[in-house]
Amino acid sequence: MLNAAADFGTPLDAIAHIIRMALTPVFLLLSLSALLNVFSTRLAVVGDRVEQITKALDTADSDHAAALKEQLVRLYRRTLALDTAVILSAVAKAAICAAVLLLFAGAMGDESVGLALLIAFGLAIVCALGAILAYTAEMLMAGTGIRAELAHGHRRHLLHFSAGRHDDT
Amino acid sequence: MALFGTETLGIRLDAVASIIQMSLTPVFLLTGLATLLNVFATRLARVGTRVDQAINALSTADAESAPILRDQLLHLRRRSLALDTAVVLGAVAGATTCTTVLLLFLGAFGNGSVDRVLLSAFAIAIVCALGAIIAYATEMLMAGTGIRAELVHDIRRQLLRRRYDT
Repeated sequence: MLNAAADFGTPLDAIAHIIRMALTPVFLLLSLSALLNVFSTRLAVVGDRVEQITKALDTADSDHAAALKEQLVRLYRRTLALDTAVILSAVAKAAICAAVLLLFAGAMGDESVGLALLIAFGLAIVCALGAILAYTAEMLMAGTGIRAELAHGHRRHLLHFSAGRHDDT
Repeated sequence: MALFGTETLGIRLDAVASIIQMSLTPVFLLTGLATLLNVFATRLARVGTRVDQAINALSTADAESAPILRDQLLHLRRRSLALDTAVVLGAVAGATTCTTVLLLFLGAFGNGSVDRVLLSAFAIAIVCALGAIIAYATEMLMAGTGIRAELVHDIRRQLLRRRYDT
């Protein structure tokens, strides 16, 4: 199929064929962009939260501060997971671009790129898989965080109530 | 069918190229799943913001509105659980989709038949995507119910307040 380009018969056809062949890598690039969008949005949210909590930590009493510090540790873990996801998807993107380049190289007549092409595309898929797994881990951490915050919110509310009563008496 | 067993000797460029072409469908599915995950993450972030707001309001709430807020928190908790389910299912679907592509490669260049595993991986991906969409739909319905419940609360609260005033 690809050999059509090597005999220089109809170069336009061959190039069109390569471009069609590059459809899958390009789609993979698209889906990784969407994933990267998700990751960066979440990373921004986590960053905002960190800022909020650091600000709240300045004015917090000792009981409250412990809970806030716990939250900061959790957020730190989440940023680590998200960073991993972002780096993996960036590597995947680079590997996809390499795969497209190798497809072109193959079309130019270099038949020895088969293995390299396989490795580049395989690496892209494996990195995408890793990014999705890291993202899942982060999501699970976030869900646990929200529920822990809810529990803590209830507790804080009760504390607040008793403290308020103390002030009244 | 020609995929399995014909290209086991060496790795030829057009064989790799044809596998890459063949993996178009899973990759397309991955694009769809990434978009879905984007939606889920946005909604989950919104639920988190709402939780923050409700907790803040709870610390200054009077005895009358506190139960309503607690009701809301419980509701938000259920929503976050549904969204978590959707996200996990979506991510599992994404992971199995990637596995499908890897298995396509394995089937073409490894020895031994992988078609059963390949089929089940793709089937798991589809089933998980279906589950994620159903969990998301559940969450959407819950959110709608929550909004309506809030409206009712609001009206009731206004009525109560009016009665206090008079």
